[in-house]
Amino acid sequence: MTDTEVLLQQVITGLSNGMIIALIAIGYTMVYGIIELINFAHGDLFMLGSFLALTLLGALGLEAVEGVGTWATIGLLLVTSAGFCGTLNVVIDRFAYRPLRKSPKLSLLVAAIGCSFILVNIGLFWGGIPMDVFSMGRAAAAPKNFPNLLGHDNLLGDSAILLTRGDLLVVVVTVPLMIGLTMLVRLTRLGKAMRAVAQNPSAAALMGIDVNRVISSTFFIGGALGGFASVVYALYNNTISFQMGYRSGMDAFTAAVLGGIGSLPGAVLGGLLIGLMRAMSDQYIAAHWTNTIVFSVLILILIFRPSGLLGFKLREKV
Amino acid sequence: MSGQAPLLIVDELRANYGAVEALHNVSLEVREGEIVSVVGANGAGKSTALRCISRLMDSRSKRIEFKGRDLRSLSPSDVVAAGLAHVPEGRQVFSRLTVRENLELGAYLRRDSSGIANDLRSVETLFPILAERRTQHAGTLSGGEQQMLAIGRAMMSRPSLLMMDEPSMGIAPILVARIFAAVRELASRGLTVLLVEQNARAALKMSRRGYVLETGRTTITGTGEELLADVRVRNAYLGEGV
Repeated sequence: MTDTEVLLQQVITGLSNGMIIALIAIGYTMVYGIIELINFAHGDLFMLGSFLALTLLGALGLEAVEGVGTWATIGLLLVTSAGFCGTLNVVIDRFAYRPLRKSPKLSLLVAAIGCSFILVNIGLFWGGIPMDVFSMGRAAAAPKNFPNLLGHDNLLGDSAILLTRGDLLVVVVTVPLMIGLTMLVRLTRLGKAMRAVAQNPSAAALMGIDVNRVISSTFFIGGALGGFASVVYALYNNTISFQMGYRSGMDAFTAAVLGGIGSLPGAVLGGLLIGLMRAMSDQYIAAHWTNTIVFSVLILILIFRPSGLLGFKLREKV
Repeated sequence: MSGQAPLLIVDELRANYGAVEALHNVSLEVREGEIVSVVGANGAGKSTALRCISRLMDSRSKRIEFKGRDLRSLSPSDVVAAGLAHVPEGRQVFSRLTVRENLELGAYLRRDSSGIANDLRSVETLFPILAERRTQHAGTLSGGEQQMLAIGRAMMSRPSLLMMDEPSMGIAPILVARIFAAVRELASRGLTVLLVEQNARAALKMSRRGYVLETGRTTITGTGEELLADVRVRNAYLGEGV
């Protein structure tokens, strides 16, 4: 591989991972936008989505499907995990966050961290269920292989640069979701209500907007995007573990802050930048420095530009 | 006074902020077609009373009835749906949405798009500046323009009763006059108005009736003229103290 080819390869890898991070980051930024909560449970919700997908593959015996069946299977996994993560996010909000709506923001944050622990432990328990697809016999905590439904063919033929169906899947799933979400927020009645609640919940209530319902919808949409991301992640990386929510969650949270927390385009931009940064660091610095670099960026952003690249100026809260 | 049934009845309203009781006994009524003012000093509880009526805040009371419906168990959005709109203190426009989007949100519960279009036109006729600023973010408007937007936005729900909280606060006198003229204009078309104001003279002048709210209690009531002539009101609220 020439130097240019290596660089291009890292760009492809970086963008694919970046789009997955972006999809998770949207879940952080939407929830922050509407109730000013960093929902630390979001990454772990994403993890459970991938466990559900693997369980379904095993239970339905779909590990070795071929041809059209592959895409139908992937479609089924995407929809199921999205629905599951969206619903679970609504339930978490209803029982853990809503009762704390009028409490200090710190209580809400602690509740989110608590939910994160609960979900991680559910993941650990889930991984211990004796199923073939979980590589029965290995420890519950062990990473699980996620079947590579898409194969390793290079879509670029004999080129030294590898572009797989996995890369294609990332684009085909994330780009339409991002466009759809942008249209929903800009153009629909729900989108307008979401923006109104994000800016001023009590004024929104005076417009006749059912604020709790709008918040629930936001949790559903954010969670569902995490569910989509979980399936794409699992098919792209072919390994899942009960701890993956922590790492991907931190990457996505960093992406949301980098782009400007509360901003949808910011989350997408931040995700792509973090993905590229990771890929470049892995290649040109050293993989064991990558986390240090990513979190140094997070700290620098928080110090020098807390509103992020595309965020609005943070208002001083009294 | 007319024999019409009251549109809004508030009876012995009490409300707390935490352990502190802010409203001890607020009682008032508003009849159809009236402009009614509640005047009183800063901190007397005027805004709190409005927030309780529109259900932004929980309260204890013997009765809060609007068009014969008990409001006490309704959500804020049900209150809007019942025909009661609230222009909150400090205007509370959606500053990062356009003027047009703010007005459209006022009609959030309505589905009659042609009726909404008509009402948009009539709000823009009442406040022509809102038509000029249609595509601007509401945050770029002056205080007076934001107040016009807040009133226009509330009118977009087609309320039968409009509650306004300190519409003159922090606004240039020339714009205050224009806003009060618009309120009178709306009232002449049949809108009922409950106005809370520190600017007691201007408020009482245009009101059929008024209430004085002192430290969480409605104490004095009468017609606008009676209150303007009342020596206690003159001393305490009209700046004519000896």
